[in-house]
Amino acid sequence: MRRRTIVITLFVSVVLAAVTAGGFVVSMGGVAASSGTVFLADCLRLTPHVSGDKLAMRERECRKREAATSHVNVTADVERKAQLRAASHSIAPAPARVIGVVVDHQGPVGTNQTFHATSHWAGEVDGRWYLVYAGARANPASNQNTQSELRVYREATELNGGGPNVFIASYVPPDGESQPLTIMSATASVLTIGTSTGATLTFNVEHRAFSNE
Amino acid sequence: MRSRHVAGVLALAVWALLAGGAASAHAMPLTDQSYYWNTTNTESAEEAGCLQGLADALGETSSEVILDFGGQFSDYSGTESTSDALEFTNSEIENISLSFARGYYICTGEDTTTTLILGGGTNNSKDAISKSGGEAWAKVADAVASAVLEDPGEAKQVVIWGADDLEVGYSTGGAASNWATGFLERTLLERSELLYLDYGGAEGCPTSTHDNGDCTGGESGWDQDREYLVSYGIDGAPVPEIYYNRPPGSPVNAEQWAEVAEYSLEI
Repeated sequence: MRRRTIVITLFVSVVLAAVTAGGFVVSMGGVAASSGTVFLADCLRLTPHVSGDKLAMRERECRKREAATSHVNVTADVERKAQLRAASHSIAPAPARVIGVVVDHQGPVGTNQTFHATSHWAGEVDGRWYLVYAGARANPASNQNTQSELRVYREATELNGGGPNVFIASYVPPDGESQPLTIMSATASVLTIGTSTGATLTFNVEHRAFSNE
Repeated sequence: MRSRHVAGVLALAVWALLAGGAASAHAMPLTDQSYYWNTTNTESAEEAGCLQGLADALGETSSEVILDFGGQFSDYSGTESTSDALEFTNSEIENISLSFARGYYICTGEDTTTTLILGGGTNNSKDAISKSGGEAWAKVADAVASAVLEDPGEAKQVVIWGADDLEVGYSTGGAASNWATGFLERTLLERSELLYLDYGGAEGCPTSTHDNGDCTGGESGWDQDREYLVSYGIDGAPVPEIYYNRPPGSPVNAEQWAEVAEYSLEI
């Protein structure tokens, strides 16, 4: 009797790689290397639920999708999405993105008790959008500043409705100050940071590191 | 046991959780949000699809979403949601699914590589748990899949499947198998090659043995072999429904599915 395998997933698409990988290797054995192979591999990777005899069915469905989509031009596709979004009645158009240095004393959502912001910078680095907030860590009990700090977030790809900005890390300047930092200016992704003592630092967003000027 | 939620409330809830991610160094991981759908408004579907697209593009991850439309009518013309008796025609189900897919596609924006598997879901709580019911549901799924395939950009990022919340407590095991067989045969006939996601429970099934024990406490004809057949063996892909998995109780639902999996390895 043939061996049948069942793959258990949780309700949030847990990938059980072992079973999938096993089936994948078998299925790919007779497929010549080509861009279609890449598409097929990606397509099959989406569906870790299936293996063994059911892979043939999945392969046929994946190949059908490949045939339908092989001529899609990425640039034109992105432009078309933007046009569709602009024409949609249910999805708000993406607002214009504010880039550069903004002095607004507005910190990241939910941090007003623990972080006193003075300013932030928004910009693109290597194709990704970042937000850097300058300020100081604060003690919520006393409301006192405890540590000068920059907080770096990765911004949502789209701004409609915000999307979640993903916290990356906090960066503390080398001098051990406690008062809020201020972003004074930016050149490309290098930020000029002022401290409460009048000193000036730079922070390279790409490398995520401070340096003294 | 079925849990019926309000789609809009769930949409807001997930959005709140996502938005809250900015406040913590340990942001909640992006996830896949499925819905007990409760409106015929296609704009809501496009919005919900957009949220998933935004999350996937941001997290650079693909997702799997089920839209549950309730149980099928005996004439296979549509469904009725269990929680609020809202009725959907098959045409409305197709349009809602297409709107969700469209919203996802639009809102992935510059990301053109993440992919959504969208399963249009029914359950075995009503009248059409039969081979003809499975055939009818496959026809609905096939109509959505065919429409998506006509749009190359969208087809690149959206995969349409069927889905069924097949549970021990709502139809006989034999009827569920017949439904699964009907779905399979129709997709083969249409050459659509679709699977369905079985997001039902294995309630009442053994938690520590895997010798084809009975699944008790529900309708007749359910055992581990039946769970295997309807969740995978015929034309399904399992998305186990797990409610009771936290201490101090034992992870009963997970144990039930684990034993079904063990059973499947030995037959």
